[in-house]
Amino acid sequence: MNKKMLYRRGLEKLGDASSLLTVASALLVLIVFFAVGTPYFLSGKNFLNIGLYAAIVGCISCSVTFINISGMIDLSVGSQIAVVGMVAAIISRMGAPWYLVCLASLASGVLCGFINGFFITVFKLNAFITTIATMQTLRGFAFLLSDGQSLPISDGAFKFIGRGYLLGIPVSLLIMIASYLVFHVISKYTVFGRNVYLIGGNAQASYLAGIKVNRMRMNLYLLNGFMAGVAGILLAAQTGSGMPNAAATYNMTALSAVILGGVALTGGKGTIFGTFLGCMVLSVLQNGMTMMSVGTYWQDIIIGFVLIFSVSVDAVKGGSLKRKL
Amino acid sequence: MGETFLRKTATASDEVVMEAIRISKEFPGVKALSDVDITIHRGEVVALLGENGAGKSTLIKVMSGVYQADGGNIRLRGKEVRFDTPMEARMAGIGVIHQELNYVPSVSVAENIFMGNMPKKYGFLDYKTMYQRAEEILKLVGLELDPRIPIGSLSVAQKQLIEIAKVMSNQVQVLIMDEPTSSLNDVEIEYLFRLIQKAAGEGVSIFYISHKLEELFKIADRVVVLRDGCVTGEVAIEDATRQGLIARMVGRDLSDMYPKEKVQAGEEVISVKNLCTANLKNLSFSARAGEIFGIYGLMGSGHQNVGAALFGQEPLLGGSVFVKGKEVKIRMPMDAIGCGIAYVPAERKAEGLVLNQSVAVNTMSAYYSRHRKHLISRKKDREISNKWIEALATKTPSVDTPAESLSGGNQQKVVLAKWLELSPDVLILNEPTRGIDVGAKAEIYRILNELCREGKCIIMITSEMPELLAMSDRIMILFEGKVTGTLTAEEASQEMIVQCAIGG
Repeated sequence: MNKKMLYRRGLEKLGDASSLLTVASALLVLIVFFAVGTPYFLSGKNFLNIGLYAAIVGCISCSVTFINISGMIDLSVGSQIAVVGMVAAIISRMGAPWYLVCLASLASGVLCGFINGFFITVFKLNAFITTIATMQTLRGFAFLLSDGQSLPISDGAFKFIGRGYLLGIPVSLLIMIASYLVFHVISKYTVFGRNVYLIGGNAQASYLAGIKVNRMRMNLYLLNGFMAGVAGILLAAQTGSGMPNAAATYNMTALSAVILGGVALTGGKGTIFGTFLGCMVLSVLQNGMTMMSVGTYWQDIIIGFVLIFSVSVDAVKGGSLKRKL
Repeated sequence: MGETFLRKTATASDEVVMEAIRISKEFPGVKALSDVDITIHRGEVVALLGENGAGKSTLIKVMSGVYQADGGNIRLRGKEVRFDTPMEARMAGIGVIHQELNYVPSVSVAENIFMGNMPKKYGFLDYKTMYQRAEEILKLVGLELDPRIPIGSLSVAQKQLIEIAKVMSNQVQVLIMDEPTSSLNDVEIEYLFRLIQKAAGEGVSIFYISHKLEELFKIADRVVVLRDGCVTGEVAIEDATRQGLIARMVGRDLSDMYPKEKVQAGEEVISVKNLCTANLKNLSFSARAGEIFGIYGLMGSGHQNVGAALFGQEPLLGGSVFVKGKEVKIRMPMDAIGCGIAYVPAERKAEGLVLNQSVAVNTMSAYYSRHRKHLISRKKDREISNKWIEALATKTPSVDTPAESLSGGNQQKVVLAKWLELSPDVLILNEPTRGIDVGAKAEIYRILNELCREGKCIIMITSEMPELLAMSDRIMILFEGKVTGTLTAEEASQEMIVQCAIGG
């Protein structure tokens, strides 16, 4: 192996790790900063809190990562989560046990995903346009389900999913961690996971290699709907109610986490671990700023800034300054 | 064809137009050019020859202001110049026709021609002047078409001609053409050569870059050979020989560019009866084990569609396909794969590879779906990829290298590996050596020989006449979607093939 090849190989390794490194160092800097800035930040209880609040967006970010790596997009996840939350509340108020509530919620999430997948893979509509439409339709549907009212849930067993602790760890956090583990394994060790990268990198070449691209896309939207179901259950269980106006910002938060983690929206690139780190950055930032009593307006400004800064660092490292376009 | 072409007469004068002296250019870790000297006279056609990565592209990018040299200087008509942007080079009279055409398909021919400097009147676009001038410019290359139609509806050859017209209309002194014939057929190539001759006759100096040696003998006055960023030879075309040029390019003697081996053809493997698609009419043929079945046609004759149709990319309107005597229904690529058909598409980057993924992932991209597996085995990824890297002599730093950083020839070997692992009975190759350098081409041909010996049936769709003639056992020629001739290697000649290709 000659020098040129060795050099290239080094670059490749660096390129893979580069965006992970950016987000990991950002996370570290934030933790150190808040640890110095506020005495309450660096405690076990606070970290569990961060995890608890990160859980809903964390879960949906898993499948959004897959959607984006495959070169698609889903802007309707917030609305899907709201619909699922409403379904959970309605079923629970009918007196159904917690597991039936969960089953119905997951089913309604998968149905939402099916609607997206249907238009995208059968009519071959653009994913951006399709999910902008379903974002609004599903949101309207969530309001329609209760005529705009919030529906409180009284079933303690169901609420345990959102508020309970197992071995001192919030159940929500456990569910999120399990999701990340499962998605990580899918992405690294299954043919499905590899095909997500292949169709995102070059759908035509993948199709010609015998990969069922449309079926893959449909499955990805179904999976995304399923995770919206999980996130919706967590939301309803944490808040103890179904709220039709909930989760409106979750689209963008999930996308931010995914982008921070190094996923290319053009597809073919990114990791589940990266998204996990991206999610943690956003949650730590929010938690730390709240502890330092930064106003919510400023929080928005700072989060936007962190996102654009981190993406810029990656772009510059990738040589964007030297490129003309 | 070649015979009817008039060898260009010596129009070149002694007047030096452009001189590049001791040009060096380094990229991180790679010395792309070292001390390259090159001179061009008025009205001269200088061919730049070299394998991929030899430094040809870097050299023309330095000369046209895309890159800036680290050392050395460029003189234009005796005056030292420095181009910091392509615009400056264009203003100085240097025009470049790139290998990959740049255009906006949905926009009119005229707007594409004047992109970046559209004629204006009172601050608004002046369409009348634009169309008028566009027509004049199109006439420069003998194109009679309406400049109002979208450029995307034209053939590749027409687009290429428009690109040339656009550059020529700019009062160029030096015209650089980077593999202008890579997507043209023989008739179009001849037309292009006439244009080049005409321009040279009018005093334009032309740098002509091509992998196709045959072309250089027809068009160039002088050949400059590059290897590893250095000039390894410079000969007047009268003194040049194929073997000599190849030896300088690859640094070794390629005893045989087309190492065709005759294999006794076995039984019939694939047979097609009355196949009809939107582009093919009543196509019937059969190909046998151990045979290379060549398919030729001019652009738009449908020969490119045969591969697509047999691989389920083009809906079949009628007819039947038999593989090993059994009728098969092919609706999509996985059906074809299931029948033992493999397809190496013409557009390697768009259809053959997932460029940002590794050699291993690309090699295995058909494997798992074919074997209905659900779990990835990294050990298997490695084993199978390494096996094919060794068998096909693919040059790659590792199996984890992204496909995009390999050269064209090695990328093609990865595509081949992907299919060969499935042990197909029928291998359809569409333009198997397009954009691949001479050394790698010969290697691909050797691989095809090897496959024939193993009893594979190879269908080779190609627009390259030398390759078609040298490698095929039988040749089928299409015109307007219909078969106009099927010839054996022994009886086929270039004239007969072209005769069939233009409709018989």
